[in-house]
Amino acid sequence: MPNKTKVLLVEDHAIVRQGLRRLLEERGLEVAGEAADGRRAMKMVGELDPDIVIMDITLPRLGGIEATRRIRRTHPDVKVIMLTIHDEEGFLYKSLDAGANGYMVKEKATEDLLDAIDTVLRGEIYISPNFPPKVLESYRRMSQSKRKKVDDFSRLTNREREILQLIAEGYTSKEIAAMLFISVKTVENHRANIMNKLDIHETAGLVRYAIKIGLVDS
Amino acid sequence: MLDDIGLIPAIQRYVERFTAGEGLAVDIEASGFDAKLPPQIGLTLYRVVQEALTNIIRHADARHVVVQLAKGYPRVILKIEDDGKGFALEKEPPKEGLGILSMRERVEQLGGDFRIITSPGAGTKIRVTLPLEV
Repeated sequence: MPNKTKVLLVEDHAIVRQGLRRLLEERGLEVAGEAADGRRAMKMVGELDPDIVIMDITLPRLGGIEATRRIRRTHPDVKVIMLTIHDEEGFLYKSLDAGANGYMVKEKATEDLLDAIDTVLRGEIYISPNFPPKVLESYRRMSQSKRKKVDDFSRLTNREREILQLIAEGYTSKEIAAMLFISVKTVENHRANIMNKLDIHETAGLVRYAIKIGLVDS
Repeated sequence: MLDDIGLIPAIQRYVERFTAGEGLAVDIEASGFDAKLPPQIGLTLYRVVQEALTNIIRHADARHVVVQLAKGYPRVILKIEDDGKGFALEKEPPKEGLGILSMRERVEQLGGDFRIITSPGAGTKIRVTLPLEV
């Protein structure tokens, strides 16, 4: 008999986790672990090597979309299915950008989750029937780079936008701190948050990004 | 219209209509427009895009235009770049000069900065920065 499909549940509500565990186990899947936040989820993926991660979007510590991005980058063979109450296209697109293999709206989960798991294990993308059938097609048609640029920069606070611009203009953290009357530590925190949100992890990359979106001139 | 649908969709709609059949490809890239802009700022950016595209279609003989907007902080930045024939800034013909003057005036009225970089054969680049809080 082939090995059971191993699932990691990432969901901050214990009751929902229990319900999902029961549902999956009844259908013969193995729930290898449960995590209540995105950071824990990343760690457990490394430890458990699941086939599938069922991932909530709204999570403490590290959000589900960012956790998905990181998991899919470090463990490309692990499939991720978003399981969320959000049925807006924006969340779907962001999830797909992050590398999610499936997107499931919670109200449909009981009927469709198994179908979703089968679909992503076959290597296909699963999208909840809450969305119109052509949504994946229109997602693919849109140029990913364009959409990504818009979304990521919008996630920055005004302060972060200001600091990103100064970084891109070549100022050091110390100089930025002096200009904005804040501590160097605070600037460093902002820098870390900017890098996190943009998923860019070096200063040169931040500069290139700022030039690309037209924030500073090349 | 700007109030109803927001600056970026308004610009997209304008560009679609205005450039239909002109053989001109216009890319619009917007970053950071999560919240509404103060109305005069949105209107000024919209007018600059209109004026610049009018100039491009009338005079530039361009094939490709990139309109780029970034809502930074504390300034919003607009860049319009075409691959047309450009012109010599110091001897720009009066008709074009007027359009550029009016763009510059609008921008400077709001405490912003208007720059144009062009030379014959090198396309034209306009860069506008406007403070979000006047």
